[in-house]
Amino acid sequence: MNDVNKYLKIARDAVIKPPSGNIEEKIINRISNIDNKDENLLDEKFLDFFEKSNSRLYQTAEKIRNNPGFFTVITITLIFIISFFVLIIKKLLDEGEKSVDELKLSSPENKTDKD
Amino acid sequence: MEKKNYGKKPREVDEKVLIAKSKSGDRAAFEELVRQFSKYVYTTAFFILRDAYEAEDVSQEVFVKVYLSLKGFRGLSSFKTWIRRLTVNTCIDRLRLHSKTLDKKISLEKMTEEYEIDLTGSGMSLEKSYFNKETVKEVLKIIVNLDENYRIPLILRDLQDYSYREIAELIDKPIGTVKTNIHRARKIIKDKLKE
Repeated sequence: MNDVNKYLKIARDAVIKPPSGNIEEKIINRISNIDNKDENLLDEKFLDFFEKSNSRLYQTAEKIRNNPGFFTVITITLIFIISFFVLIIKKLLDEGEKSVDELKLSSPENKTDKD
Repeated sequence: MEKKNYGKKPREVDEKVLIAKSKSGDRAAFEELVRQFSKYVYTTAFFILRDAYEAEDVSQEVFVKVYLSLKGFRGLSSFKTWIRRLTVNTCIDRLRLHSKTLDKKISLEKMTEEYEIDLTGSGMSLEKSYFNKETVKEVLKIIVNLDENYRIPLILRDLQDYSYREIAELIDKPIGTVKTNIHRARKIIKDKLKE
């Protein structure tokens, strides 16, 4: 099956030359003769497609729906990274508070009070 | 001041410039876009519809739609992706409309005689890959002759990069059926290549 996949991958770049002649010129001629009737081609289906292809929200949602596994891994990794930093910050703050308490305890004022 | 586009492929830069010019009404720029993408659109339509004239008709329709709507194109995806999706949608609509009359098979002989398959864009060196190219052409002929239930999902998945979910939505079939049909289509190709 690997060979088939390899050939299919190459086949993506294949181009067929139309037997009836130059397709480019036909399209260009067609565009030169566009009239009001052609507006009908922009039907409801096309407008729906057009709206979706211009919507960043829709595009992102599609990317997530197409790769749910990838986005789950990214989300879990982000949660871990954020949790890690929160823990470190909390630890640093706790240590800071401890050292302030220790400083207070070892200050001369406290010593004289005890004496 | 001139904008510099370091790190971008020339084609990508060209494409963006051409789209910008076309949006502002430059007809020559749009014609250049037609020259760059018409064969790609035609090929996509041909593999789905299996009819040269229908493929031509769809190609013209797609470019008319692009011409009429390009001003509103925001470029969130590449132009190639956009035009590819538009072509596939137009072809699927045609298949739905003429599902019974349109499903024509093209014989392998006819395909070899009348249709020239060009693989110059595949980036393979000629000497090294002569055998590969011949096999790829053979693969494409097999694909064209596959039954619609196998051909469309296989083309969308392996040649057009659609996800299984998108294919299922597009052709209105369960995702399991789509996966099975694609697997079977690949197996048919493998078996025929062995013959």
